[in-house]
Amino acid sequence: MTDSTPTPPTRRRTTRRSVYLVDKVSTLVITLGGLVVVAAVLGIAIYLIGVTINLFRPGVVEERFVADIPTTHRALFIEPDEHQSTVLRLLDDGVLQTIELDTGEVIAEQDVIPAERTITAFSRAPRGGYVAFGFDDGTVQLGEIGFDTQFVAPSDEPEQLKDLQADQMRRFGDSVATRTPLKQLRLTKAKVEIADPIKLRTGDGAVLLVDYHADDREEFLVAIRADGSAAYNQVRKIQSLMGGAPRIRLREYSFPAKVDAVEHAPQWVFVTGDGENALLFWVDGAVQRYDTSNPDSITLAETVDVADSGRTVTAATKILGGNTIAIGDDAGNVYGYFAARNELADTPDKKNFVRAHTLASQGAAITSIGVSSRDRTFVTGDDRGGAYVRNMTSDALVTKCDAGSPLAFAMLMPKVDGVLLVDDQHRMHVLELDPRHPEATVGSLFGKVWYEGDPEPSYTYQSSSGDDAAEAKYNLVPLIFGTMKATIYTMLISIPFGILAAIYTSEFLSPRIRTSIKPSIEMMASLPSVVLGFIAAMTLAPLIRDYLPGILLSFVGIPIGVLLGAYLWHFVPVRYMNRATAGGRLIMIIGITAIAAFVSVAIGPVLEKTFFQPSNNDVLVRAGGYEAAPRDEWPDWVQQRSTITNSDTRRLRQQGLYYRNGEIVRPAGELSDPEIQREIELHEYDRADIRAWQDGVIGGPWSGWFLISFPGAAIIVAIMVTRYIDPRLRSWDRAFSPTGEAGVELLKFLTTLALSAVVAAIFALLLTSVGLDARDSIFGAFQQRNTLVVGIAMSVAVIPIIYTIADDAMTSVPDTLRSASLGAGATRWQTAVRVVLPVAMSGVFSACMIGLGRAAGETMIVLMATGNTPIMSWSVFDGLRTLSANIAVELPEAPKDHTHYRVLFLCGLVLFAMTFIINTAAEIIRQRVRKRSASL
Amino acid sequence: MTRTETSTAPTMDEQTHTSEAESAVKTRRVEMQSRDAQPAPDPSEFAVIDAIRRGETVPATIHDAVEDEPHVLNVQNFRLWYGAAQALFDLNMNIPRGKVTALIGPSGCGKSTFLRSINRLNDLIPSVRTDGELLLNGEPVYAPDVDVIDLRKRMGMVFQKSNPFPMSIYENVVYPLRIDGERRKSVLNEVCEKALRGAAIWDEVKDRLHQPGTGLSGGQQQRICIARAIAAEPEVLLMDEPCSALDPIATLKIEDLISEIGQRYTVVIVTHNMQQAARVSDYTAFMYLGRLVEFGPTAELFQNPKLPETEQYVTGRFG
Ligand SMILES: Nc1ncnc2c1ncn2[C@@H]1O[C@H](COP(=O)(O)OP(=O)(O)O)[C@@H](O)[C@H]1O
Ligand SMILES: [Mg+2]
Repeated sequence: MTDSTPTPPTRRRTTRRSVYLVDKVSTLVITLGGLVVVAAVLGIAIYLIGVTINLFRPGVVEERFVADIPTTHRALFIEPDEHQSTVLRLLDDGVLQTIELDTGEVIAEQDVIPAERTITAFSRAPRGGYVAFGFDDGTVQLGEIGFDTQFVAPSDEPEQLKDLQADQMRRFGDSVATRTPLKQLRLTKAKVEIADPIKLRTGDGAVLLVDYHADDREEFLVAIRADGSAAYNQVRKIQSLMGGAPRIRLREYSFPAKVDAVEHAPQWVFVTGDGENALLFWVDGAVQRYDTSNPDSITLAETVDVADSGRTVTAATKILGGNTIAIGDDAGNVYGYFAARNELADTPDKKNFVRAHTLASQGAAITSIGVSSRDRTFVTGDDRGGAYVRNMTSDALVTKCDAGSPLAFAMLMPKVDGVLLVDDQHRMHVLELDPRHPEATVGSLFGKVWYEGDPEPSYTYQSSSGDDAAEAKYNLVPLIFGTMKATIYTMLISIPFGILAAIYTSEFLSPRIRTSIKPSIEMMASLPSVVLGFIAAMTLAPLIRDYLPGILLSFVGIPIGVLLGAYLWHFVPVRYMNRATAGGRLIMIIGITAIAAFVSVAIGPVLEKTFFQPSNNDVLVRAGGYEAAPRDEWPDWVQQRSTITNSDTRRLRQQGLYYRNGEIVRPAGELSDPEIQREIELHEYDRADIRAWQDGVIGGPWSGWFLISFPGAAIIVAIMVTRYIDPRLRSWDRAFSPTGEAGVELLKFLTTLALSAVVAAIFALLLTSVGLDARDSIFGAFQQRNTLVVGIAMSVAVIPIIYTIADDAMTSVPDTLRSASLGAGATRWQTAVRVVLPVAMSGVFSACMIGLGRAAGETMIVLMATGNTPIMSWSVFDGLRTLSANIAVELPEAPKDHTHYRVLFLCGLVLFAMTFIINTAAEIIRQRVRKRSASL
Repeated sequence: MTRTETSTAPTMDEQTHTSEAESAVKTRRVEMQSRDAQPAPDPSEFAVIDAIRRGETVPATIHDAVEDEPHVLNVQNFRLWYGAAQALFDLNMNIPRGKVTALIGPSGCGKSTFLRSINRLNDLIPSVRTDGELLLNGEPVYAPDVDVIDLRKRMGMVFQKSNPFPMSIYENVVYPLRIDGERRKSVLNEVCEKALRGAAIWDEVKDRLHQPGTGLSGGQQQRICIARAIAAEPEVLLMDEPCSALDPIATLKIEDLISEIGQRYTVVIVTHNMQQAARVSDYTAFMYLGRLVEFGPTAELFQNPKLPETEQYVTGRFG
């Protein structure tokens, strides 16, 4: 445009179309990118939920067909094979029938027991098919009845089976032939191995009841004779070299079952899987439990009533593993019982037979309980035709079905993929079952569960063990606890260090030094966590173990050292003080810290000697100088104890008594005794030892409380001093020269320290007198891979994150505020704390939260630096297991779509939810904080 | 008031120092007077400005009235560098006690730099280097044994952009006492009210003392900052263009306030607004390219300046 052309009425220039195009395209790309990110995050959440939701869905059951299997005899057991082709039925005349499952037709019969022998007792364990028969002549026969499955090579296939199609089945002699989906031919028939009769030596008359428990390790047999006598047998099988049935040797221990104490005979007898209990059940709910852990002296441990009042027990069966008994009553209630350890029990074996599981009632008398041989799932059939599939660990009702008429037998297919019900019309109902994940319910994953044998319900995580008969313990609470514990201890270290470092570089260092220091701290963040974990486990953990007192001391020693340095610095005349450059000061601080750390570690042993020196009596007793303490010397609370726990021993020691080798003792003898002297020298019993103290072997609670409360006491005293002493001192210390003033300040500092010690001592005394001991909580027994190690190692990863973001937040505080504060005569520290930090609060808070998120999700460091023990203890010296480490440890061994696999995904989801909640809460708080410090 | 007490009882060392400084001032004054006797240069020439532009050292034209006042600040051959770039050249000036002194001059001439040199806020910039002497009530500001924190407490500063702290109005005002460790409520309350009244904002905020200071209008915020600056009873109040970010009405209020405060405190105010300088100050110093050009009573400088450059500048014809 030149001056001569008049200004046009409208704009003459046009925007190029490419500008619009670029604008449109970039808008599209950005929107797309954003959506993809949102979708990805959402997708992960949805996927996790999708995998885990299955854990909580009920099982499904669907009726396949009904077949008639008529008989005039009573069946002792009915069992389908794992491929659902064949059913075995043993009748009470000793005939074993092989039935084709699809049709119900009997395809083979064999006499397992000669017809002339009268079976009076029978037991069979689904797992392994171990059977025991008892006879009217007082003999027993043991053996195995199961399936014999053989695959036939294509070349050997019989002509008449060649046309068998996949998934079809056909009778073939005494076998059932099936074609697998992989086109293999499979023949299934009964396999019977029964040993010769053995006469029981104990008692007289027919064998009323038998129970035979066998697993890979041990075999037990319990039998009750008609005269009420009972025998507990350890079974030994001798496999003959010639082949054929093994010979059985019984090692028989008779015990006087107090059967006559109850009018009628018991209905069931069980020997538990551990062989330690023999249980006699009567229909009225009376149960006698015999302690068979020492077969030479079998005693009646307790008699309990397992039925609700007015109810009778109508069914009882051992669950997989043989230690939990499922019982059903005539009202349809189903319970799980086991012998639980109980230190306070009045039984000789310190166990109680307790009702640990109460399952949903099915409203009609339970007639049959069928248990799985793979897990703790079982099915209960009732006399109205209802069948409930349940899980013992989680008390879950997996699913239910209805056969229409009263059930004689209810059982699960061996792979827990079907239910087989036989009603009183001898009709066989075959149902398809998908139990999904019966062990996992909201209650068993997040609530206390009473696991087999435990004294009480607990939060326990123990996903796998050698034996699948063991209960799977999928309780996530210990893992959530571990995650929180690791995070909290890490943040306790990281937040102060991260923020102080940020204050230091943003407020104290010149920009020039800062630009070189900041990247090097940030570099720490890029250290692979594997390396950190490795260093923590291999170097830090042993270091802490070897220098524990010194390292504990340095937590107090370094701050004291630095403060002391600061007070001494005041003695330097201002003239020289002003000459110190920022770099010089930095070197000075590093030097002081290093000296303080060194001194702390060096005087650690002194601390150990002062606080953790065993008393003469401690030494004497440990070296063997003790005698039994007379009962009247025992404190009252011990009289009621059956077992002395670790904390009880410590309490006893406070009263001058000791607990050695299962008895309460008091010191006796002389330290100068050469015998004792030798012991002491050999084991260094007289050495001060913080770990012996932590283990509760020496010393009282006071020293621990003192050390723990010292930092807190110091802070309180320091606040008191600035609050109440300083104003008084103000007018007075003006009168001094700068050096004099520094002297007064130093004096004040030292007095504060001394006063803190006094306060901590009093506080420790108070806590001790209340009966608290830090060793019960945060200061427990020492594990080498402990939370302190994790806290320090994780802090190395987290501090740089907190530092970087906090530093950025603080540097972005406008300099006008800094100038205003410094211009008013505030020191840099005052400016940082009173002005910069509050303004940067939302950023600093974000920094902490991002650090927290990192700590909560950190995997490799916790994996390597802790023992990964899923225990719930607040002790700094205990290990832990976090959700993330758990996933890393167990995912490789979890079969896809198995409960364990999904539980691991649930761990991931819980972690996701935890960080989500933390971050959301943090964001809300941050917004609040930001609003408050806004408009700057 | 403790501060003034200490300053009236200087140590032997300081005393000698002060007397030396004063004698230096006296000799310089003699020089000035001899120069004043020469005829004023031709208004069309701007000899001084041209000389300054050439980088020559030209002694400042200082009116006698300035030298006759008692001084709170003595500036002697003060020079300042930002790294290699010199920002202040051989400043020699004495700032009268209990008066309002305005610093005027074109943007970038070093007014703010000079103001920040007085309370050593320039120390915060690592590249800054100084030379020469600056005495506050006779005590050196740049001696090696000066405790900068103590020094700054003797001065108050108000900035161009109002910068209340992110805390309540009350805490903002008592901040200088807080950092001194003062905790007695009675003292704090008294000082707060007195300072707020002194800053003519007491009536506006007395009901909302505990609300954030950041919620006020710009003019109110600036008066809070003034209250904060005078709460510590400073020996000198330094103001760097305190009204430049405010609307005319707020500016007027602050100007009234400055005039009033000027009756009790020594105020050094930087402004680029001639009218403002004329309205609020007793003395005015005209600076140019890091040098002092003319320094005299405001009325004289505005109506009857000794240098033609000054006249041109104050009438807005150059700058
Ligand atoms: N932080 C700094 N670093 C380097 N140079 C600066 C800095 N602050 C100011 N200066 C320079 O010093 C000179 C004086 O600036 P200033 O005192 O702000 O001027 P005024 O306040 O009079 O406008 C200017 O040339 C400016 O560029
Ligand atoms: Mg300026």
